[in-house]
Amino acid sequence: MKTVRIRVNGREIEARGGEMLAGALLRAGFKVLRRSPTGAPRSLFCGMGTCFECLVKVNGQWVRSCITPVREGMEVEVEED
Amino acid sequence: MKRIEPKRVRVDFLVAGAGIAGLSAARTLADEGAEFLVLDEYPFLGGQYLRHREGYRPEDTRTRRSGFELLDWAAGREEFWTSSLIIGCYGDEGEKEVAVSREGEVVVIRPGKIIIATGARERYLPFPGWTLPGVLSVGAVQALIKTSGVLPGKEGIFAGTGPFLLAAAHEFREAGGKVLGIFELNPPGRLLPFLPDLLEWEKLREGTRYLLSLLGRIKFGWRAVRAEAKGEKVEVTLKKGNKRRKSTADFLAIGYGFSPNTELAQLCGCPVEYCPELGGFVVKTAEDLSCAPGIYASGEVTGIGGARKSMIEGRLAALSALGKRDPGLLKARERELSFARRLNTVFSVPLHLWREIPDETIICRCEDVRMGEIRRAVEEGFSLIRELKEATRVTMGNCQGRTCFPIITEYLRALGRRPEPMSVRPPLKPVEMGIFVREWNGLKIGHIGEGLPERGV
Repeated sequence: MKTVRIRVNGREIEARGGEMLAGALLRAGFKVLRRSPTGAPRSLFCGMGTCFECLVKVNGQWVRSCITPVREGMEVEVEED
Repeated sequence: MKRIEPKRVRVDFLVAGAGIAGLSAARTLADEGAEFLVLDEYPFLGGQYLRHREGYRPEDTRTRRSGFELLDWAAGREEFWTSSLIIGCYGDEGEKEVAVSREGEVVVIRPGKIIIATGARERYLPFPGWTLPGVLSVGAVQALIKTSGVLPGKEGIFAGTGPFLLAAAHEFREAGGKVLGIFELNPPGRLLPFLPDLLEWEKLREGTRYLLSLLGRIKFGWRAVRAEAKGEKVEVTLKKGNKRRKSTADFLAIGYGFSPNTELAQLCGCPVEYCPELGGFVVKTAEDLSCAPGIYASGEVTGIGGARKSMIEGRLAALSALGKRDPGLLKARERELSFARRLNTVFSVPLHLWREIPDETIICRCEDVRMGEIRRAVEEGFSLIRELKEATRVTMGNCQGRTCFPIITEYLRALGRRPEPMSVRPPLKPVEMGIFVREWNGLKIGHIGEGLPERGV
């Protein structure tokens, strides 16, 4: 399996080619992905693109990380815990 | 500001969804020599049931093996468009236009006939703390394992109702995780109606495998009533009658069955009806699976019944759309439907539990609306979804009510109200404004949650 390198909050992490971003983020230890309107930490919840809890910014655009495949050189922004 | 003139595509048969039902419909259309196009929002084919990764492809049942055969057949074919989100369906009978967001632009499809195979989503019985990172759906656990080989933690607790709890716990264990407990909220006596199903080899084998591997871990009659963050872990409070216990794990996986994704069908003008024995609001179809002129529904949208029902219905819908009949298939569907009714009836959440959700519980995860606000609004006399939406903002977030609407429906039903379907409008899911207009007068393009531009922009 090909290894893909992506940057998350400026830090380089490795991901597996073909996997979804959420999996790569959890493997790298990013437990919180975003904050709710009242500031509560949220993370992957439904895993199938329904709930929008795993929204992160990729190259400046909001995406659902559970159904977004990793791509070499992706710039990802997540909420820091 | 310049409007973008979308590409237009004409096709005889449009299949919405490339899960097991959509694949089965497509295969039937191809075998009959028909011209078709399959759309899926996901970047992969096969839906949730066939999610896998390179080198990891569990072919545990005959149905899943058949599913993977369909997937192999579909792979690389140009009639399958992935990462293609249907935004809306417009126009009158027989002249429908389907707008699709694909590769940063809008494509308008003019199909002769439409087969809807949009599947289902999970449903939940919320409790304080279900929004914490570390609490996730059983489907998310499975997807992580299947597609990334990642476990959400070393030790997990599984709570809710239904066989999918066992399937996910089993998969987690096989992947090296430790199952601390499986809490099925229904009592074991509830399983009795399934005895006839166990005469069938595939179900017997599947059921026995899960039960044997997890025996001793399953606790009946217990449900999760609270989750709290304890450092990196989650402390779960479980309740059975007046008994309470606490258990701490790396994560809590919850699952309470499924609810059909009827939004596209509703937008296409198909009627829905509330059938708790089929998973909630389902698309109402005739025996041939037609639900509006030129529109057919197949798979979980007609009732939660699993992969084999979806496979049968995909084929049935395609044949019906081609004007053909297959009495054998109709019979097979009847059998699956009767299994579906038993499944959803046995593994249902007792109505009174919806009334017992504490006020502090978040119901709408997108807008952080709590149970107390909904309860007060209902006490003040608001009870239609439309009214509750205006009073509390429920269903108004990014997920457009996909998560909280089934919860509110059950709560209102527990209060004796008649369930009422949610009104559906395009865009079916949030899309970037940038796909409609080239420049947007200084407004930032690409904000999720923004709707379609107003008419005449």
